[in-house]
Amino acid sequence: MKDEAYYQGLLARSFDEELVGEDRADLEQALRTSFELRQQADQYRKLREAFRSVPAPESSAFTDAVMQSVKQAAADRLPVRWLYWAAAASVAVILLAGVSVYWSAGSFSHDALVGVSELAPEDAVTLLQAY
Amino acid sequence: MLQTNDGIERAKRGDTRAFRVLVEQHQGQVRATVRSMLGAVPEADDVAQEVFIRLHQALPDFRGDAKLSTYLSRIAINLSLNELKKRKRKGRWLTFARSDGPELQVEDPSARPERQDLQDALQRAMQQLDPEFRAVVTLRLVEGYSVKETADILGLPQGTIASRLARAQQKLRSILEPWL
Repeated sequence: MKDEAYYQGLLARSFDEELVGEDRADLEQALRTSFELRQQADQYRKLREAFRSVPAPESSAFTDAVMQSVKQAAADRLPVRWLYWAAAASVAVILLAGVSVYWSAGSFSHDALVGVSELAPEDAVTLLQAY
Repeated sequence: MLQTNDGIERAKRGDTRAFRVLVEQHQGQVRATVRSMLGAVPEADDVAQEVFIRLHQALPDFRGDAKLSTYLSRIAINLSLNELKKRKRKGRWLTFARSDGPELQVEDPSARPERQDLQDALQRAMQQLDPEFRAVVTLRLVEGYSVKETADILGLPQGTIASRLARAQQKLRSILEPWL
């Protein structure tokens, strides 16, 4: 049994070409026989027309405000971009220093990193004789 | 006037004037979408501005698969839904429906406020819909997208869009009966 809610559902969907086939035929038949349904269909039409007639808000002040915000947002992003570059440069320097140490000393030992070889006991004797 | 595609390409290359033209061309659509979602509140234009800031940031990656208007509608709806969630979290009730004005649930047709404009009432009635329903009505009835386009923008099946639209319209019709 097709009740009022069914036809109201069809009415709400009877928009452009959304309603096809049996649904469309059902609704057209119901509209021919029901004054109340025709009244509701008219209300839906007015509702849609009201939506379409709402003017779109436009102003140059809005455009100016957007352009200002965009400029500000771009300026705010600039330091962050420099920060990325600085971090990348630091990593590159550390890597180059590491490669250089390994290249010259052949290892990453403490002595190689600080540039001093470990003193052997005989080195101490040599040093004392020198003074 | 610049053609939109040409304008997008120029804006991508950093042409400020081209970006300004894009804003001028699309601000009506974006502001109408956000106002429909949030009501005519001061935050509406802030959100609309944020839409264009997001566009500006995303321009280098904008491939033009979607029409710019569709892309902007998607951002506008998402930011509006975020704003509504934020309001809900903060327990703020800044919707237009709460501002001074006649109550919309008019039971007695004779109580119809003669001076109340239908468009104004429509905007207030929209605020009585759940945000998910409001988004569908905004895209379908305010912006004029098809059911398929609305479904694509919201990432929902077309059947869901059709049923939400039908239910939303029924509610709007019952709220606005004195004006119709």
